[in-house]
Amino acid sequence: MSSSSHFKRPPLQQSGPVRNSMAPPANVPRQGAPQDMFTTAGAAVCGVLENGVRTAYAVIDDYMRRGQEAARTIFNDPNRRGYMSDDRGSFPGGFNPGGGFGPTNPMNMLAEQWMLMMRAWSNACAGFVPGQWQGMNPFANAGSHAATVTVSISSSCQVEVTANLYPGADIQALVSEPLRAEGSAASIDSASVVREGFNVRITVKVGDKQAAGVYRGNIRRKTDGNVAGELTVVVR
Amino acid sequence: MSSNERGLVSSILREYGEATRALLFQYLPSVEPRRYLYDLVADYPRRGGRSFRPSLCIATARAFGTPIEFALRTAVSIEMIHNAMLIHDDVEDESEQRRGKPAMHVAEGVPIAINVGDMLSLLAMRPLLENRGILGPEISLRILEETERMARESAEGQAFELGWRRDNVIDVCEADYLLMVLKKTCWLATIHPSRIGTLIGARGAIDLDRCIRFGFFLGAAFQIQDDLLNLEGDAVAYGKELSGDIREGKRTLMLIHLLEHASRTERERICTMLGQARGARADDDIRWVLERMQSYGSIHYARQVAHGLAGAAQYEFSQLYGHLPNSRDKQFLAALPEWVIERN
Repeated sequence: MSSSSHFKRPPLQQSGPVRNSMAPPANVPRQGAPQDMFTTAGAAVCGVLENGVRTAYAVIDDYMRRGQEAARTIFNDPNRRGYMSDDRGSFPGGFNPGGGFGPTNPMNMLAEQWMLMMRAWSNACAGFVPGQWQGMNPFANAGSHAATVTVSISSSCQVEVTANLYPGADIQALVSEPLRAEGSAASIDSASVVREGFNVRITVKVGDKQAAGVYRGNIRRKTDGNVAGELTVVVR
Repeated sequence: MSSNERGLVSSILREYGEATRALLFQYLPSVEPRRYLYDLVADYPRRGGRSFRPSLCIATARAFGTPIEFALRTAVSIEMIHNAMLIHDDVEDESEQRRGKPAMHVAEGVPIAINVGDMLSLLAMRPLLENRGILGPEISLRILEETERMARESAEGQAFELGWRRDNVIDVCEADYLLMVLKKTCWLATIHPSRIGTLIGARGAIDLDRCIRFGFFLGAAFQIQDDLLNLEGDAVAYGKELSGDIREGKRTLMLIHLLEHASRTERERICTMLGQARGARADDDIRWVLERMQSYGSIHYARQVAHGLAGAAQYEFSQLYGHLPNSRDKQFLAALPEWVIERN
């Protein structure tokens, strides 16, 4: 078959000058330029190599740009997290929340139905858990929420608190075990861990007679009791 | 690449690969029909492989300080989907061997091979659903969304390659090839594991699009090296028939370079050969194309480009993960760009 009879994609629209592989990108904010990338690879810089990498940068720049444009078109929000960041416009019947499905193949339709079912299921489950997501769409602000931890300490002596929360702990209902001493001292029973939205509040009360030492306890999920982190208190 | 770095990469691939496979087999049912389905579902995973994809996912999550068990189920799913895609790829490419043994469709027939691939894809959903118990519903659902996107990207990339071969497209340029590799190879091999590892490790606090560049350059270098090994590798270590890509008419960087530099007569002979059915391509023609690639420096050129892409991957790594505290897993990630172009 001759090449003239082949489907041809429209020529790519370059949003900026093709990046020289040794220079910083023109249209994407970056923290630095890859001046040392060839020396770190142990490869000699030459025209052939430079052209190859330049082409690769042009390809990935264009791919990213199309994705960002598609995301802006669909959500009018360039900061939305990356799910829609590819060029979904090129996908007939691409995922279209609230807009139904366009013509597409059965597997894609199944995949999208599946995702919608999972969202509905997740929302339904969330309704039974106090303090779970308040909105209909649990993903709406997922990218903009980093977990924060607030620590309240009530003590007459110097105390150091370290909390190690495993991934996902900030979206679980939590409970703290009593903090047991490494030695024979009495445990600290008054530690509590409460999740409030995307904030985890840790409260530790240390009595005047609490012996100096290191006290440790697991933070567990209320729902199934699995360990969600560790709490360490050092009383000096 | 120092011997220490090489040893570290081998050690982590072995460690995380064993952990992944141990859990993976727990997700494979031991029920009927065994002969025509479930025994075969376990076939490709049992043949081994480097476990590069699950290891990348686990190491990325661990580089953020996350315990291995938080990434293990997702790593299992990635490995299952990879094997499922290999079964289907082997059918589509008419490949004869996989990991040193006859390809699934050669041994069991095309219909059964396709069904086994389908089942392995579906089984890969179970560990992702069970993520909910350890990662919580939000992260788990985001991983499902990421998996759906990866599957789409991979199928789109495969569509490019299959279409080019079916229609004997010969004017594929380097940018076309790289876009195809970005979708077909990089999304499953490097971008997806990197994104998922980062999602689990950073709990959604990092924009995952930042992983695309690192994954693209690493994956593209990986693919070109794979294509080079197909021409020049050790047949036993490689596990597939050498020069199989030429026989299958794959548009590799070497073939694109050759088509751009060959004389008109040579170009016509190549096009004629590529227009034939796979089985009709003569051994003499395959050897001649390989000889022309060597003569025109196409293999040397592709190797240089792979080196350049690996360098770019190292740069993108420093931008993406450079701020993380030093660890064995971070060292592993940092060593991967050189490893992918040195492996054999």
